[in-house]
Amino acid sequence: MTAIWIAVIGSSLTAFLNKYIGHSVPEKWLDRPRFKRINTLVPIVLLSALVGIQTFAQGNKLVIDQRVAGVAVALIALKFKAPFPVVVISAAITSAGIYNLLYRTFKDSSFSFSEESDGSVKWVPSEKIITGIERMPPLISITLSEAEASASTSM
Amino acid sequence: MEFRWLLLKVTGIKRILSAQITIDESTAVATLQENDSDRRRGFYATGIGVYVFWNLFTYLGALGASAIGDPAAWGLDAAVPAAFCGLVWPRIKKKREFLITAAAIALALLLTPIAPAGVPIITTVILAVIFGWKK
Repeated sequence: MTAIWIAVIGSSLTAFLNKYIGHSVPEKWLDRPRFKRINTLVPIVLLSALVGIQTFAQGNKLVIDQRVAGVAVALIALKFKAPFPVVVISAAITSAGIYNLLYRTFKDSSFSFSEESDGSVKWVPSEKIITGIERMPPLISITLSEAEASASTSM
Repeated sequence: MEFRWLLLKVTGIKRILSAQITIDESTAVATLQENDSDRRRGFYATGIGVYVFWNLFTYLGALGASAIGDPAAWGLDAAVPAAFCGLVWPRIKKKREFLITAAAIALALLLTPIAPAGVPIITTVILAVIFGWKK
């Protein structure tokens, strides 16, 4: 049994016990206004954090790419009280549209992003033709160290 | 949205099975019902339904996910946060909740470059405790 299996089984058991204990808690313990207030907020903070991470994070980096446009469209759809499937699908179409447009340009022309010494970004010819499922570099990338920054632009 | 606990009042083997299918979806459907029998029906229908289809599609995904290729080409990388936007949207009614949302996003993003994956998200529970502590 590998480490990953131990981790999977261990976290499954922990999750199950957590839920079982939840069902075993006496009702009167739960009837506290403070518990209720905190528990109302837990899904809000977790879902918000998930939205933030899934929109801007790429591994340990914060990036601005096609996902931001997709999520922006989703928020507009929600503002206009669109049904849930419309919200999700409009976001997917927007994001995929931008990604594929840039990706195709990128792939067919064999060009890639290059960061100049003055900090500007421009398209330069690349020896390497992007194939398969290799991802396009994000439009804007915020990195912590210089080493990371040079690693991400040299793709 | 008034907060309600999920109280099934089940014991023994039923409690074990109920714990297994206690997830966001089954809890949400159950707590929205008006009476006990609807709550039970909602909980089990949703819980069992999600359990079956989640595992089925996980299996199908394991078999053929590579056929899809790059998820970004299908917009799937934006579809997931968009779906979560749809889930959190109805919970943001007042200015205070909007502030909590903004704080949670800011904290998670600040932690992203320095903390391992998952930690930035779970850390935001601290905000729920802080904002929920006093009325």
